[in-house]
Amino acid sequence: MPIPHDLLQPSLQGQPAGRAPYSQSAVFACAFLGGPPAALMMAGLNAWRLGRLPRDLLWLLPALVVWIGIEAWLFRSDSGAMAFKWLAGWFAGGALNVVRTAIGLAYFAIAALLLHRREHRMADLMGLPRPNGWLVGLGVIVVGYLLGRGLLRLLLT
Amino acid sequence: MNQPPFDEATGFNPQVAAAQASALLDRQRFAQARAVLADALPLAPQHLGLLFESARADVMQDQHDAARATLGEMLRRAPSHIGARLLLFITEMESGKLPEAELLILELLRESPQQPELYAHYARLMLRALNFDKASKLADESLRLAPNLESSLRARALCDLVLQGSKIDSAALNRLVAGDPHDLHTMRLVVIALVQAGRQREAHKLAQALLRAEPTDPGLLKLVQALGSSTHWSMWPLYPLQRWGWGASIALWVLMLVGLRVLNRYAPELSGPASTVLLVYVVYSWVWPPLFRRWVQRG
Repeated sequence: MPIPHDLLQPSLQGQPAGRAPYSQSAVFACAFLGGPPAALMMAGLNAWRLGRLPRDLLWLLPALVVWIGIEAWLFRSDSGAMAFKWLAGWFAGGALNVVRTAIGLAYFAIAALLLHRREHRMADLMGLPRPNGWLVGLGVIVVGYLLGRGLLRLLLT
Repeated sequence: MNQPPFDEATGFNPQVAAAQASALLDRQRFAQARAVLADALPLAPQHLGLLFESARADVMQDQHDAARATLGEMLRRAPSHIGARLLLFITEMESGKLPEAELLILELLRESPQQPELYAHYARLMLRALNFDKASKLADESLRLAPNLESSLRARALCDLVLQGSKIDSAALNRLVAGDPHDLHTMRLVVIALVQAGRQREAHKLAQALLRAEPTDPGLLKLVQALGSSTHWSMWPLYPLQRWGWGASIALWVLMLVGLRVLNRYAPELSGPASTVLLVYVVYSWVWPPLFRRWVQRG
């Protein structure tokens, strides 16, 4: 049986390879504290580091639309207003934060526990040095918070 | 006690010195191997065997620049030296120069496309580059060419560990264990498999046994310390988080959110103590493991 030709073709030339992603802890902290935009930004950063951004944009962009859509539904429709009122009955002033954290954690799960799980496992297995997530994480959380505020202001006007 | 590589009757034999250094390196006795090489190399500075072992010692001790220089010198004089080219490939891979490593292994593969070991090496490179599909295909190719070759089975087992995660169902790993249950490389793979399956205690015991067999291995020592700290009695309350990872953290958040609101509404007198317990648990899970790990590593 002949050797498959494609196996002997170079696949690492001219592109960054083998860069470890930001740790799952960093992505989790960003998703938890910064909500959906921060979770998506961290997922996007990791996708870029892993050289799979074009592929991941296929879910990152729809996920962004879903987040905006959910908030638009909550603040711009009667049924959404009723749902938000029900949530506020349980969580009072923290209802919006609960919604955002839940969506952020869902995006964390999709990115870190599903799509990038093999890369995270391999980075741990090989002991690849992880990039320092503190500064980037802090920036992502702040930008995520500002985006969330901006969206809310836009939806309420 | 090592015999010096000098024989008064027959004179100095660099081949013997190289073999002696090689045997010492196989046992990770770096200081002794380097002493043999330091004695022999001034007497035969051009000897390829001695230079090769010198480069091998550098690679094994992560001195990649020194290894690269020695191998470069070797390859200037013997450009087709397979061992030097393979060692240079390993040097480039381990120092993170993955595209350079790929060019080297491809060159070797084009010259010897039926060499199963080369496919196993290439599979490891692809794993390191996080290109799992190609790594898997290369490991399969290696196994197809040599179904019982250890390096092929190891490459396949490594791919299985990455691809399967918590499920330990690797035929290659099973065959490696069945073939030689005492092989240290195989046992390391088993430790990794156990860790990934969340079976920290068994992994810790096995890693301790491995460390007894290889007490000078710093990586193994670090692993035993990490596993020891994660199985310490003070970590028992964190078992769900260790076992189910981030999924358990998300579940804990949901529990705090929903459980506390329900308690607040239907049994408000329990809400305060419950929220305190959960808060202490969360803080404990974030703060205590890294602190304890650092303390163990210092000790």
